[in-house]
Amino acid sequence: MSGALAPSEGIAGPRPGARVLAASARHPGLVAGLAVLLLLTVAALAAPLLAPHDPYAQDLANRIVPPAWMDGAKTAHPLGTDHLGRDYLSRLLYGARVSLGIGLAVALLSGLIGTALGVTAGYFGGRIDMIISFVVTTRLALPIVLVALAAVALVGASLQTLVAVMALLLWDRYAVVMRAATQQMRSRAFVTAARAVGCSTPRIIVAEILPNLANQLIVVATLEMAQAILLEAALSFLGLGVQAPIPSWGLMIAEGKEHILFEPWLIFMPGALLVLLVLAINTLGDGLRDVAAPSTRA
Amino acid sequence: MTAAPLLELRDVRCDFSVERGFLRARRTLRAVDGVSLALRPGETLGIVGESGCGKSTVANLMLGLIRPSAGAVLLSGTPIDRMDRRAVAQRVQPVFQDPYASLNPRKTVRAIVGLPLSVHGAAADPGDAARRVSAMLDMVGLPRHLADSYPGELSGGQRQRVAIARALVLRPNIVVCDEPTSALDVSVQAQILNLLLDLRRELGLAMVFISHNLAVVEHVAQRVAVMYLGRVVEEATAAALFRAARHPYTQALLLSVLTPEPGRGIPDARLGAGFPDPLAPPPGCSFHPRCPLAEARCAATAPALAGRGEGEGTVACHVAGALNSAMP
Amino acid sequence: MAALLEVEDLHVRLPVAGGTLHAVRGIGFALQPGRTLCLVGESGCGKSLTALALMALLPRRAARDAARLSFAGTDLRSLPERRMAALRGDRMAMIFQDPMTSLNPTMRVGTQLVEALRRHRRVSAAAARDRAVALLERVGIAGAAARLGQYPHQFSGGQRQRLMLAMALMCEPQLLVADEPTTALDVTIQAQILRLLAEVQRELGLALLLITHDLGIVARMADEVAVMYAGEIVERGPAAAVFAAPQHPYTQGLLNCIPAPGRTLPGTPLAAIAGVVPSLVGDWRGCAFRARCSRARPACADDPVPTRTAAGRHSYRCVLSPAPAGREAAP
Repeated sequence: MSGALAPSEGIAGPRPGARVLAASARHPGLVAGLAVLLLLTVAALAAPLLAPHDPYAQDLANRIVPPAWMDGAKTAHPLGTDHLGRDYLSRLLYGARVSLGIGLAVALLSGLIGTALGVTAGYFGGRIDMIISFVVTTRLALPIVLVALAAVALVGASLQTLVAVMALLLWDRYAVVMRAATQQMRSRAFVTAARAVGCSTPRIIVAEILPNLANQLIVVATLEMAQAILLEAALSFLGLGVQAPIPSWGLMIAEGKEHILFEPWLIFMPGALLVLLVLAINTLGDGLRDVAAPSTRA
Repeated sequence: MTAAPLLELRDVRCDFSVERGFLRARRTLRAVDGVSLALRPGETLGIVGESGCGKSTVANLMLGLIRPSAGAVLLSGTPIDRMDRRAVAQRVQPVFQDPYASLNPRKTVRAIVGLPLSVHGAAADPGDAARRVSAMLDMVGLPRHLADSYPGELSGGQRQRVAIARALVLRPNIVVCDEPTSALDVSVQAQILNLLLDLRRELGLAMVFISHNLAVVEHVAQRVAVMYLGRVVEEATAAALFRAARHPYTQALLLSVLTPEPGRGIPDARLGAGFPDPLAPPPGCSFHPRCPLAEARCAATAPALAGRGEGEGTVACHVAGALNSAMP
Repeated sequence: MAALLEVEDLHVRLPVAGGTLHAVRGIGFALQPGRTLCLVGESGCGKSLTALALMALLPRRAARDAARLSFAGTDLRSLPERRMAALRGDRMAMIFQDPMTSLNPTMRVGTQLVEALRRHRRVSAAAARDRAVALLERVGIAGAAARLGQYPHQFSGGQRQRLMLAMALMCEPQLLVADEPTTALDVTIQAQILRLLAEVQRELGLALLLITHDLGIVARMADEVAVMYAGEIVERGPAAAVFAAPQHPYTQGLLNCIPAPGRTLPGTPLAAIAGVVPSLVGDWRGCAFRARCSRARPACADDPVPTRTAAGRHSYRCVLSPAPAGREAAP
C-alpha cells in the first residue's frame, strides 16, 4: 500500500528547501519552537546590550523590589530585584546565557561520545557491538542525578566540571539511535558499492554514512540539549551546579525558595523561562523528527 | 573456450552464521555449496535462481566483498583474497538491483560517479576527474546537466544509469550485475538492457548477469548457470539451456515464465507447495522434495554435475543423467 | 449479464508539495461476475490508487470523485464509512502484494480467519473454524487444522499469500481486488499462486480485478484488459483482441520492449520506450503519452483525445486510426 503514493518514474521529488517549507506549514510546533528558541538565543547573546544593570551589582537598599505589574514597582527594575537587590531582568538575561551555553556544550560533547560509540557498534557489529552495547546498558543503569552529584561533590563545582560530568552522562541516547541508524545504512547497497570501489572503512563511515545520519543526529541533539538544561538547573538548585554569584535559572529558583510564600514571582520567572525554553527545544525536536522521517507519521 | 578464465570460482563454499533469536543456538546457513563457475573474456554469464538460492552471495564473492569458507575465487588466476582490495576494485565492479538504495542520497551524481576516481587517485587533477565523469555520463546517456542533481531528483532509470557510470568509470573488465533491472518498470528495463548490451560491445566487457527473470537472462547471456539452494544444478550455453533444459528444476523455472501469450493459462510445474528451509536443506538432491521426477536414490545421495549430452554443459540430476545415457 | 462493479469517470486527486497530483484521471470500466479484469500499467500510472478508491481505502488527504461508482447496485460514492466497512471484507475483498498488510503478526492465524468471518456474519466459532480449515486446505496449506494455531511469521512468503487469499474468501465475497498479489514472489511460486487464484475464481464465480505491471500475467489471467498510463485508461478490450492487435502506441511499446523468446533475438537492442512518465501535478491537456510517442503529431496536444474502436469492445484513446493485427506493424 505504501508503494501507491511513491513518486513515480521521472517525477522528481521537491527540493529539500521546499520540503522544509511545506513541512513547516504542517508542523506549526516546529515553527513555534524555533521562534521561541531563536528569541531566547538572541536575548542571551545580546544580554550585555539588553540588560539594564550589571547582573552582579548589589543594591541592598533596593532588595526584593516587585516587578512592574505589582504594587511598589520601580521603573529602574522592570522585573524587580532579588534578595541582594540585583536587577532581576539582567540576571534572567545572563541566566539564559548559562542555560543555553551549558545545554549546547553538553549536547555537542555528549554527541561526540555517543555518535562515536554508536556508529562504531553499528558498523562493525559482532563482538565490538556487544562490548559497546554493554557499556551503554551499564550507563543506563546509573542514576544520572546521583552520579552527577557525587562527581561534582568529589571534583568540586565549576562550570567546566559541570559540563564534563553531564557530557559523560548524557551520551546514551546518541549511542542507541546512531547504532540503529548505522546498522540500517550499512546494509544499504551504496555502502556495498563504496566497499566494492575500494573505499577504506574510515572513509565509508565519515563520507558515506555520517552525512545520512545528520537528520537523526540533530533530532537527538535537541532532545539532549533540553535534558542538559534541566539537569543543569536541577544541579544548580541543589547547590552543586553553577555557583553563586553566576546567574543561573536553577540557582535563582534556589535563592528564591525562601520567598515562595510572599514573593513567588522570584521563583515563577526563572521557572517559567526554564519551562518555556525546554518546551521550545522539545517541540522543535519533535517537529524536526517528523520532517526527517515523515513515514513515522502516516 | 580456449581463453583462460578472467574470473573463476573453484569449488567455493560459503557459510553464514545465523542468529535465530534469543537463547537459541546459532545455526550455519550454507549459502553457497561447492560452486564452480568460470567467466571468460568478453563473455556474459547468466546466473538464475529463486530467492535464497545463493546467487547474490556468488555476486559478493566475485566482488571480493566476502571470503569463501572453502575453495577459491580467482581473478586471472590469482586468489582474490590475496589481492589488494583496490586492485580487485579496478577489475571487477558491481551494478546492484535497487537504484534507490545503491546511490548515496546525500551526494551529487558528479560525486557518486567521481568517487572511484578519488579513491584510487586515478585522475591527474580535478579537471581530469571532471572530464572523465562527464565522458562517463555521456556514455551512459545521462544529460550533463544532471551532474549536480541528487539521486532523489532522478527517476529509477536515470539512477541505474548513474550506478552503471560509477561501475565503469575505472574501466574494469568485469561487471557483476545483480538483478540490475528488477526494480525498474518494463519500459525502463529495456532502456537499461540496451545500454548494458551497448557498453558490453563497446568496452569489450565480461559480464555476470544475475536475475530471476529468465527472459532477460536469455536475452543477454551467452552461458547460463541455474542455482538451487546454494548449488549449481545445471549449466550450459543459453541457446542449449533454453532449447532443452535437462534439470527438472530448470524445466519448472522455464515453464513458470509467463510470456504475454493470451489463452495459454497458467502452467502447472507440479512443484508442490513446500519450499525447503535453507537452514535445514533436504538430504540427497536438495530439490527432491519438490521434484515431480524424484526417485528413492534422489533422497539418499546428492547428484554430481555431469555432462548434459547434446553439446556442452553440465547437469546435476540422477534422473536427467539417466535420460542422457539412454539417449543415443 | 449485469455488471457487478461499474465505474465511470473516476478521479483521484492528491495534494502534494507543488500543487495537486491528478493520479487517476477519469477512468471507467465495468466488471461482470465470474470475469477477470486486469488493470495493467507501470509504477505511478494510478492503478493501485484505483483499487484503493474502489475499496474507499485511499489515504485521508486524497480526494475521490466519480460520475458512477456502483457495486451490486449500491452507490459507493455516498456510502457512509460504517456501511462501506460492512461491505469491505464481506462482499468485496482485497489482497495485496505484501501479505502482512492484511495479516496481524501478533495474532494466531486461526483467530484472524475466524474473526474475518464473524465480523460480518453471525456464525458460531466452531462453524467459522471449520470454514477456516476448509479454506486453508483449499488454498493448499497442508495440515490446515494444526496450522491455525500458528502465527504469520511461521509461514513462508508464498504460504502467507495463500493465507491472505483464504482470509479474503472467508465471507464468500463477490468481488476480489488483487493488487500485485505475486510481485514479491519467485517465478515458480508466482505461477502456483496465480493458478490457485484462477481456480478459486472459477469455482466461486468471483469477479476478479487484478492489478499488475506484468503483461505475462495479464495475458494468462485476464478476460478483459485495461491498459493505464498517467492516470488514464489508454486501451481496453478483451485480452485476446488487445494482445493480438494492440492499437495504442503505449500498449505496442510495452509489448515490444519485453524480451520474448522467438520474437526478440538475444543480444539485439530491445524496442525501448524513450523518455519518462510526465508529472501529473497540475492540469494536463491532450494525450499524456505524446512526449514519448514516436508517432506523435500536433493533434495529440488537443483535448479531448478521441476514443476509437478497433473491433467490438476493443477501444483505445489515440488520434491514430486502427491498425490491423500484428504488433510488428509498429515502427
